[in-house]
Amino acid sequence: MKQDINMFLIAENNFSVLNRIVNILNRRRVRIRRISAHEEPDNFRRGSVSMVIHTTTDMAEKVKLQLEKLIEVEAVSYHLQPPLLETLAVTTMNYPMAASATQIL
Amino acid sequence: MDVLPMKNKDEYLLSGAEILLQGLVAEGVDTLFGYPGGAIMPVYDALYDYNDRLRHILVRHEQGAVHAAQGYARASGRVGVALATSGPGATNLITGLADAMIDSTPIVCITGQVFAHLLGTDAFQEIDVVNTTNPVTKWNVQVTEAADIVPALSKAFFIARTGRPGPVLVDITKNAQNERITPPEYRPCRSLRTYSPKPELQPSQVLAAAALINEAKRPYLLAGQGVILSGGTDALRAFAEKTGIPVACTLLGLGAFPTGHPLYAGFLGMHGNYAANVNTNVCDLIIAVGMRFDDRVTGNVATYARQARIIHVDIDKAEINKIVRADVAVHADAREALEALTAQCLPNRHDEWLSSFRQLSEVEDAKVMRQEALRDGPVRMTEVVHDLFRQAPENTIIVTDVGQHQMVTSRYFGFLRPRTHITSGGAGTMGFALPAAIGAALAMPGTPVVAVVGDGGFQMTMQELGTIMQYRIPVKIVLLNNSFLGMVRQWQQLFHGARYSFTEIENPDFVQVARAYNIPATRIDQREELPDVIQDLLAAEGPFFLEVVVAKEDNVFPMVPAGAGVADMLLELPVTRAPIQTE
Ligand SMILES: Cc1ncc(C[n+]2csc(CCOP(=O)(O)OP(=O)(O)O)c2C)c(N)n1
Repeated sequence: MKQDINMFLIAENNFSVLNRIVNILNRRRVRIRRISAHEEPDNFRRGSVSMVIHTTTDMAEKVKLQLEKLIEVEAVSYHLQPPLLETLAVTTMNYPMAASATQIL
Repeated sequence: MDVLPMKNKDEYLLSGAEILLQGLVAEGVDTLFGYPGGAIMPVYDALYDYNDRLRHILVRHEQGAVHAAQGYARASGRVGVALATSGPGATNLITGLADAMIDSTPIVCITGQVFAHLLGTDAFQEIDVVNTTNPVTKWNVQVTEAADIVPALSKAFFIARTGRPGPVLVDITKNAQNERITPPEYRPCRSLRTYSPKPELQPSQVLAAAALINEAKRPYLLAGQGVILSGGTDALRAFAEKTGIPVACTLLGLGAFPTGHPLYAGFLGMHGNYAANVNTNVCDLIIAVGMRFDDRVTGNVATYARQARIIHVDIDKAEINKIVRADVAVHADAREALEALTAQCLPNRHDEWLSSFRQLSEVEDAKVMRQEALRDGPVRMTEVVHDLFRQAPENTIIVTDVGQHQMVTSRYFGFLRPRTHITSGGAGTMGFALPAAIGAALAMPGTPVVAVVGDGGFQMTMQELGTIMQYRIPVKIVLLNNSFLGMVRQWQQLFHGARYSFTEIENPDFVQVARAYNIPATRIDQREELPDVIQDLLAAEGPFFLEVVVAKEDNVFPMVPAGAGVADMLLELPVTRAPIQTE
């Protein structure tokens, strides 16, 4: 069953890294509902991406492994988005290092 | 008083182009395949002085350069290198990059790029090469300053050859090639913070796999190219001999296990051996090593090996559970995993299980091989390959193109050693063989290299005969001419009611073409001539071109029709003329 899944990713902030990430999702035809990316405030060499994707958990796992294969990508995690906390996704994006939306609460 | 002449400060400086070439030498590169153009001219200018250290092979098309680099890498295990200019030069590399990506071939491509200040302005021959090649490279990078060349190059070589190998592209703007700086020391890259190429073998995974292997009654090992890439062929043999487990090879795995070995179970896949495919759905345990369950191997996944437990050994974690669910995953280098498994597994024999392979092979023998061995009517591809195998020395490297001749060669040439079989597997790139054979021959001087090609694919990169001529590269070419795009014709016959839509091909006089390039050439259409002419081909000191006119409408059997299960192999043409329904 497809559902909204929060995915977090930490990567080296090289040119094209966002393209690489989005390419993997596009190739798998995974719908990206939201995406936000930023540099680490005090280290421009590192950055993170938060996104809400709409897919199955099986696909999320496959995509996670393919994203982790990208040379620049350091870590990827995902968790199901609690439906009632839809608005939280925005908050979550501001805390991309948090492992789950609930951690921020 | 004489004063020692002071060296001009500029003389201690080197251009980015020279720094690049020094870097290539430091990485142990001896051969480059390339084609010049405006944006890479500083590198070509520097190459003029590097003749003694770097052999540059001028190909006739950039696709030829990248396939030659692939052939070089596949034959030798070293990183192949290709050079091209910006724009069309770079886009001509894309097919080869995609091919190297899917077939895990370590190559580094260096492209020139317009001046940094022109990036994004639609300057002459400016193409966004990094983003264009992004999905077909393991990694790529654009360099806009000379100081960044060394870090980029060392990273490129490290990434290309480690872990699951793959193609890397380094795009260097012209200003960075021209810029003169104090040359930095070349330090090979040994690690990257965000990339761990070699997973640590987990003893728990090995023990879990060994437990399944020890209790299995009908275990079956499927060997992929990962075995060859990891240098694991001896380890595979030791494992198989200790456990008595039959071994089948994927297309790229051919050579990982000697075909003559009593435990060799055959070639897997759409045109593989009958027993090897059918027993996939009979075994109780699959040990998949360094292979990725490509759809040409699995056929319909829904009916693939449902009865079996699966151990999947792969260095690439994203391959595990991608297509087929693994009961035990061993995320590791194939050789290390095989060595550890050999230590943990009990000695065993599976005589009855092995004899089931022999029984199924007899079916294939009766229906296919014996028919093909009749040797009447027009010459068939099978007999050419058979005769070639009989006469070729054991170390001969066979490079095939894509189509019927490729499948026939995979079936009838008995590969005995690793790195003796080079083909375009995952991408199925027609035009691959001739340039790849050039690369293989240059990587392995003294080793016979034979390219087996079809009349269609040969014409896709036939201009590389010019490269063979210019450098006297001793590639032997066997062209199997059926005047058809044979494999497509076969599909049309089987699945489209024999409507031969645009597959019949009018060809030039190939022998004259080869001779125009000063390559000795012969055409035959009688089987009696085969042994002698193959002997001439193999004995020739330089290149040699042999065209064999073969049956026009021959088919490669057995065959798993697209969308069918592996156990539903066709052994012959169905009696009905109606098209076979596929997915
Ligand atoms: C670049 C490219 N274009 C098209 C195809 C599709 N294709 C696969 S096999 C084949 C026919 C090959 O014909 P030929 O080279 O004469 O070899 P044969 O099958 O007759 O041995 C074609 C067109 C391909 N694999 N690669």
